[in-house]
Amino acid sequence: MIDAIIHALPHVFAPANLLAITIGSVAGLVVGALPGLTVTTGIAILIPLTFGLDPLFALGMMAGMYNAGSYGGAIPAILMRVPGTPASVATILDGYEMTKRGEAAYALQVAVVSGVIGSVLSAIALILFAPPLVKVSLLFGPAEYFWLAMLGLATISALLGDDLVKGIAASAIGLLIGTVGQDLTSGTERFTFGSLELMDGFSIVVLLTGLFALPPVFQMAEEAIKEGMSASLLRFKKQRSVMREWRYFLPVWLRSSAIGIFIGVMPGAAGSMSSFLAYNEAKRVAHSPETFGQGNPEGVAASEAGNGADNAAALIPALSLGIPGSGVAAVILGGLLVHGLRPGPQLFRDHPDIVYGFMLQMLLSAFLLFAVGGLAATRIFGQVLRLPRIVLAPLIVLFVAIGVYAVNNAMFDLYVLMGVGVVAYVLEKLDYPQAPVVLGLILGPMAESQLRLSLTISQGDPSALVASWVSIILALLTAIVLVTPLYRSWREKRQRKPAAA
Amino acid sequence: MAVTAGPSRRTVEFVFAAALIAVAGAVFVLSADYPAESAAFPRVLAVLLALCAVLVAARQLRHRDEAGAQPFFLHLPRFLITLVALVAYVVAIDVTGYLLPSFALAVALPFVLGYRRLALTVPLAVGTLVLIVLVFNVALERPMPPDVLMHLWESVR
Repeated sequence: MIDAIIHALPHVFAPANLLAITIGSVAGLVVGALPGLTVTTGIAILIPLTFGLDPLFALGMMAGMYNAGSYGGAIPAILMRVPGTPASVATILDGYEMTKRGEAAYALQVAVVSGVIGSVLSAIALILFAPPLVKVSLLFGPAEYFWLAMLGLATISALLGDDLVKGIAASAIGLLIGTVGQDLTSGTERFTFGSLELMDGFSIVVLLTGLFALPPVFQMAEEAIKEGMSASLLRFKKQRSVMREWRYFLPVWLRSSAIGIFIGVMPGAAGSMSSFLAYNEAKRVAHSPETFGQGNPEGVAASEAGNGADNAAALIPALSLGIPGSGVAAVILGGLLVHGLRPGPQLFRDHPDIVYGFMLQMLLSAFLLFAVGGLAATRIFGQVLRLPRIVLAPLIVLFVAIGVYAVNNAMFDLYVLMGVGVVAYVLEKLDYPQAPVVLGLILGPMAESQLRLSLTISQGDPSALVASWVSIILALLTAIVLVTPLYRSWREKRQRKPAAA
Repeated sequence: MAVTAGPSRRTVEFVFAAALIAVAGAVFVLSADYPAESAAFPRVLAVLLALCAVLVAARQLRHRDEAGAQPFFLHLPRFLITLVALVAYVVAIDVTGYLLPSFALAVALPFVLGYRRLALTVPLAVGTLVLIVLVFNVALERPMPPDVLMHLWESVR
């Protein structure tokens, strides 16, 4: 591992890759700060833009966008009481109260420093824990890989969103889209309708972009908000320094980061859950919990450290096992595939310079957040918030269209983009989670080929699917993950009945 | 309210579930032409998708809650305007290239949706397109859809 890290260092610190992290961080701040745009959307826009470029350049931009975007959500949360991302909802509780007291600059400072600390600790966890997890996955054969894919789909379907049925339906949609194109085993063309463009299936770049970048455009257009943020909120005066008060914040940072990392590693659990749990824990152990929600800076610190800490941690299962810890990690997984990098042990074996380089970029971008996310940058990027969202919506389309066209130089992809965008808008409005669609698309071909390989080796005997302990454990875990929400719902109904009686 | 709201969420849930069932049915039928090994996986998925869609529709019938009666669209006319604008935009790119339709979309869509400050939208559209051309075409040497304006640009270069 040390050798691989040392080998990756010159690539990470190459001027072009440093520039990529900086551009990604700047763009991430803007994306995170603009309500309606999420980090997932930003990375989905980035994927086609970086297609064909050097993988570390592309991944550097994604790393920068991931870390900076998750902090960027705190800017409108603190200044406008509008969460830039779902994870910044907990930041509003105390952050906006601080703004009302005239402490906006201090609140933003607490948020950025806490976000940086959470992100740095999370990146260290990624570097330390992902490689050992890969050793476990080396024990896997075709049947185990099939069950791993099923477990990944089950966790994302069951844990993202509140509706298991819609989660499974979304997975099935993604899996079905993954079957379009030539079946590599038999050579049969499936669902191509004679179209040459569909021979290799749908482009994952186009689908990702349509799924995540277009629904916010429709939403912004429907809301038609004609005003940006008020200029008066963007004037900052010199306030207290968080760095001088580090002893006061240290316990909150460490506790919240530990919570964020733990939640981040759990497949499907990352995101807003970590910031809320960190906030609740900070309130629970506080000497004066009644000050939380009244403008207590510890509340902002806990929420942002927890939020930052699940970023890189969510990539631990994604890089080593191919199971993303969050929706953003699922999109990054897609980004890796676009650059020909299939997550799992082979990624660590075949491309150690890239995988360790990416981990170092996550760490570096966390530090860089200090520089680009500091108060000066917050002041500058805060000005983008003055842009009305109704004006922003078509500008997003311009970037998306040119990026998607550049993938295959094909107009066909732009028509697919629009179709997928409309379906994705309906999916989002009806609370079908989109991450399972992406994961179905990514894991579908692997699940099918490994299932068929396993059955071929065993000459059609289905018991081969549960022939090893690893397979049995994975199958049981899949069943538990799927049954848990049903059991929870049954228990809640049972508890409600006596209460009603 | 009725004009801008459009169908209820429940109606769209039903229509979408029906569409999913139709897609699942089509997948099942089309798979009949493929060899058994290529047909099995999509067929299982089609059954799963149809089952989920039936469950979603059945739940809507059982629980006639207030949320289901809420309008699906925040503002139907604005949604339709955006949809038409985006489809026209892609068709226009196909016909005239990228730059002109992009400029038109960036300026006209906010205008039609009620934002009339051309002093902001026009320079912003021009600035964004210049940035895109410089980054994509000049710096990254990425392809752009053939454009009448790009021919002029090439002749200037």
